[in-house]
Amino acid sequence: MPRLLIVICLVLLAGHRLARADTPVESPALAAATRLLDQAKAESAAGCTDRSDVLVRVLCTKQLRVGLRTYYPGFSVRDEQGAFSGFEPDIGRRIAAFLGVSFVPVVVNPKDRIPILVGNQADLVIATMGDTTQRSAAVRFIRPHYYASQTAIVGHASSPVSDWADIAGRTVCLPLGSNSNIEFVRHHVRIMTFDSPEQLMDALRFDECAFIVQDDTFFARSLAEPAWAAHYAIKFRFAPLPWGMAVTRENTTQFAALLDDLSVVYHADGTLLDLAKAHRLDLAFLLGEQAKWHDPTCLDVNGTPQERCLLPSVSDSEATDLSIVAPYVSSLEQAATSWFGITIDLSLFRNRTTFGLVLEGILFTLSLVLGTQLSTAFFALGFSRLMTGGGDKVRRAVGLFTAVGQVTPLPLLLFFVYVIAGGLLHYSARVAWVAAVFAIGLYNGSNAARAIDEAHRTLLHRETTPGSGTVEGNTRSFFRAVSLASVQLVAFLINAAKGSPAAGMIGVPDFLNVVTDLTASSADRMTVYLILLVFYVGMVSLLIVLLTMLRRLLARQMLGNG
Amino acid sequence: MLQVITQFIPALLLGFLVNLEIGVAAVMIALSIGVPLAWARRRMRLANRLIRPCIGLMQALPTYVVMFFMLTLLPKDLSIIKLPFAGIVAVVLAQSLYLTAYVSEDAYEAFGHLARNDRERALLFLPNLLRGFVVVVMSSGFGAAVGVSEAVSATLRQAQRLPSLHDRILLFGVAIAFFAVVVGLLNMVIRHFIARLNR
Repeated sequence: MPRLLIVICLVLLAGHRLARADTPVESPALAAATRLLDQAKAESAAGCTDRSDVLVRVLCTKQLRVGLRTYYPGFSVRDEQGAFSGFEPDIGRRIAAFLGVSFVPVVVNPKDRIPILVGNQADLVIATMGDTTQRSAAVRFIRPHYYASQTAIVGHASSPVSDWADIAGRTVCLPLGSNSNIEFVRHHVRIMTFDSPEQLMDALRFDECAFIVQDDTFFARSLAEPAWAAHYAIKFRFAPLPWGMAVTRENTTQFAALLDDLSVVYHADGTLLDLAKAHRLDLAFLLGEQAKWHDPTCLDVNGTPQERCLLPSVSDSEATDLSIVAPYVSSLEQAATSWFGITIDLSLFRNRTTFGLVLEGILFTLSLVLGTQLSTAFFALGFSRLMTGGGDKVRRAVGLFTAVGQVTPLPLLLFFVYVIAGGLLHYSARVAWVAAVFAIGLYNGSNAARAIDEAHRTLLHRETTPGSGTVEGNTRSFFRAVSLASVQLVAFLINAAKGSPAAGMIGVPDFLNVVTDLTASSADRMTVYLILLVFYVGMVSLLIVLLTMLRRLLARQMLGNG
Repeated sequence: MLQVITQFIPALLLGFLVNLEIGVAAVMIALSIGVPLAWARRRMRLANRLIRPCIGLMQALPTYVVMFFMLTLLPKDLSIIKLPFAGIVAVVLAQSLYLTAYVSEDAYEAFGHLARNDRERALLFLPNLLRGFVVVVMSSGFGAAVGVSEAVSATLRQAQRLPSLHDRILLFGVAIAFFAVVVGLLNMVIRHFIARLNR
């Protein structure tokens, strides 16, 4: 009998344990989410208005509209039938199932995902969006975050690039709407933008871009393919960034609180981990979060996540720091609107960082113009002196060299010098500057030198200079030839100044390059380019005036010396 | 290396064809605007006063900067039979601006010579036009900066595939020699033209 009792007790105990294992223990976060949902259901039963919480409106319409991207392998891809697959749509479906409503995908891209949310065209956005302080001011991010990424630079596996210094002066390709433009301009890296990630991948495949930039998560699927991984690799990463689901800031107190709670639940019970595994994503971040949200000290008694356990928004407040000219810029924008009825965007000059980069670009431009003037004058006078005063061999050699300078297109010459400089020295903005000054000077100096040589020959042909054949006579006839060809010399000096912006082709971070890169994603590039054009025309015009004055002064002096 | 050069030559020639197309398009635009402007300047004093500063401004504009400005004016999805076209149009327009000023100044001189019944000197307009064409063809390589597949960008693409500095220098040498021959020939034509006119 006691044996029977013991057996019955053991069976009952085992049955009780089995029953406990089958019925999950409800977490405080799940309880909180359920409470919020029940409360919202009660409200929705009474009807919805525009001022109702988004959660109540979702329950009224029985639809959860989720903003999703169309091509981000592993995370969200839309097929030809319009169906979405990936980690993010799966999260959306789970949430919709929890709410008991249907899941309705809404197409978004990095440019319009916030406007679509704010414009009430979607209730929730799950679209690879990094949580930054700037974005956080416009939308409410759901925390804990559902994923995290870093920005990765991908190139050929054989390319020996591992740091910013290795890509200075080179061009990388970015998706439109990327917020890392400033980072690239700051490191003197040129950028080219593409409308979609598919175009970026094509550009890499067809050698249109040597390096492409995206979140490292974007490349997860491709790197898992042996054929792709044999050719390409992540060269380096920067800017770690947590990704968050987002809702609008208006009327979302209940909805956001419910999603915060659900996010805790999905991390803790491994839902997010399982979904990520199914899509072969990197699990490092999710494993860390799961451990964190298993820890009861990260939740208060109501199931609300503790602030110390949550990741903060990544600060991009640098982007909102004002420059010293910001008040004038705002006044100018307002004046343009009130006087002419046009809207201009001069935000490039309003922000401290971008304004600093623009100033650096202007300094590079001014130094380029000065450098090309000096190098053109140096090559013109040097070559022509050798041609007019040197022996036959020297004359022929210099003549051949200047002929090559004359017939080679400036862009080709620039790249030729750039290739040699890049092969001999570690590339930097200064090396690019020296290469550009040399190439532009060589091109224009060669042309001017031949003009001086022709003038010298004309002089020798027309008259027999007293004392010709002596060093003194040669020197005098040389200066007379320079005077005679001064119009051409000035023309080529002006040409050198006009050609100086082409230095941007080999990565010199001049005014044009900086503006082009910083405004790559801007809606209003026209105003800034107009300012740029006025700047260059003003600079060239000033130079024309100065050089013409100098030429007249020299001509008067030559006349005075007989 | 020999194999690389044999692959490079057809790409260079195809690219140079684009340079020539840019040159021809710029000449057409420059002639259709520059010559009437010069004619108006000769006929109307007021027009001369208005047009002269415009010509001066066009001469002061850096072509490379104008090319980027034009690119911002043009719609990004400009295409012909699905081929992106904005880059090439930007290069043509930027070069046309420079060439229009050049043609207009030259045509102004030519109209002056014609008025004095100096037909030979007026005909110098033609070799000068050819000279302007050569300058435009040479500087159309700036198009490489906005993605135009012309001779300079063909050279760059090929150079990127070569691992050693020596090979890259050799490749650039081939491209420079090609331009030397073409431009040398064109300069010979110009000189021959001028010599015939002087006779």
